Amino acid sequence: MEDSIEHRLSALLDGETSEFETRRLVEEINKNPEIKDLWIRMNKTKSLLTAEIDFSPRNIASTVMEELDGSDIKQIKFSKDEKSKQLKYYGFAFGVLLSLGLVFQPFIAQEEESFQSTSVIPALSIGNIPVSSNESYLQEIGNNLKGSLKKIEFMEEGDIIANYVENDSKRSFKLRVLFRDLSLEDRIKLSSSGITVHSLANDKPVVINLSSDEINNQGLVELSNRIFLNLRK
Amino acid sequence: MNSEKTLIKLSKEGNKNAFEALVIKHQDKLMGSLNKLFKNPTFSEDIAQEAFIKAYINIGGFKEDSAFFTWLYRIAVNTAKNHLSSKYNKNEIMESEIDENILTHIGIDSPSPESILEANTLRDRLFQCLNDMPEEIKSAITLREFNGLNYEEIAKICNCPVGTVRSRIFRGRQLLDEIQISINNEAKGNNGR
Repeated sequence: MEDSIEHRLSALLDGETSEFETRRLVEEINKNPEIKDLWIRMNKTKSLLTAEIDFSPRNIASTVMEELDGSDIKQIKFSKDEKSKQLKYYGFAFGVLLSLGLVFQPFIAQEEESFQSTSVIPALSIGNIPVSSNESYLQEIGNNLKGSLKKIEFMEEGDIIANYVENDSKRSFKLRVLFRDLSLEDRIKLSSSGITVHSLANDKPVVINLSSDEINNQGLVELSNRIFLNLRK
Repeated sequence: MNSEKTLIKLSKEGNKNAFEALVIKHQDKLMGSLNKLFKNPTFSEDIAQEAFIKAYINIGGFKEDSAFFTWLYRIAVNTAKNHLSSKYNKNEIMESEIDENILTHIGIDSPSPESILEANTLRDRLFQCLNDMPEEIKSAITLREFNGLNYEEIAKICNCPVGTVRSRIFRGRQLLDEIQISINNEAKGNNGR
């Protein structure tokens, strides 16, 4: 025989109801004022017995709920969707960095004969990338570039800035991936720094900027073209 | 999953009814704790209200690595600090700094004598009721409320099934509730005169 609502409410107070029972009781408390009153009294009795209160405070639940219902207060979403969206962006950024690795290998080989003498590191494929460590991705990409990842920063709004230094030539360059539309001011700032490509990822704006004091703009343009050709494959 | 975890899960899904159940469950304890700290029931109630609203807004970020009440209490104390620090025009007031000066600033506003009397009367009657309960019911309620044991632990001690413990505790609560109803009715009668 099923226990009465009052019986189950007592178990709810003690945290001893199943998820199913709890859901049903929440509905019952909401639709039945007598049950809600009983829930309030049960909690008050508990508080008094266990000396949680030494006076008789008023019931503020109704005021809190009126406030929540009567205004446009909304919960901040920390949903999985949001997280997976961020992961998609990061995934895209790593894709960019990976492509950079793929592109750089022949690029560097052409420019630097000395690279030919070292053993060729196989190009990374996304399937081989360990998912657990983002930084190790980037480190590995640096190896593929025959260079080193010097620094990576995850900025606000999911932007990423990565600095690389080529091992032999010691030339360094900076890659920025910005996942947003830029203000006019930011566009102007970026236009004076290396080369910038505006594109879309998952129908959202993405801006990629490559800059270097040691690689000329023509080199950066060529590099960025190759990145995008790779990305579009 | 225990009941509170379910209430939290539902609240995270935007179920306001589940959140209201949580508010009712924790409001007295929160206001009681705040009043012990601030010695001002009106201020404590205002802070508790604001804390619950903030908790609802941010519950998606509650990682459940602590008890819900601990998280809620922290929100409430921070809310109180913000109120106090804005009054003081200071950036931050540490908990240890909640001293007599601050209490003077917000004003010590003891609970009304009626409120204290009401609580004391009710508590006395509840304890009297508890003492008069049949032994097996009194044991179950005492082990639950004062020793914090769960039903399974109580069942082992009392050497009876968990379902029996659940029923005994419920029966005890029914008796206690009758006391509260009668006191509420007496209070209504007195006010009506």
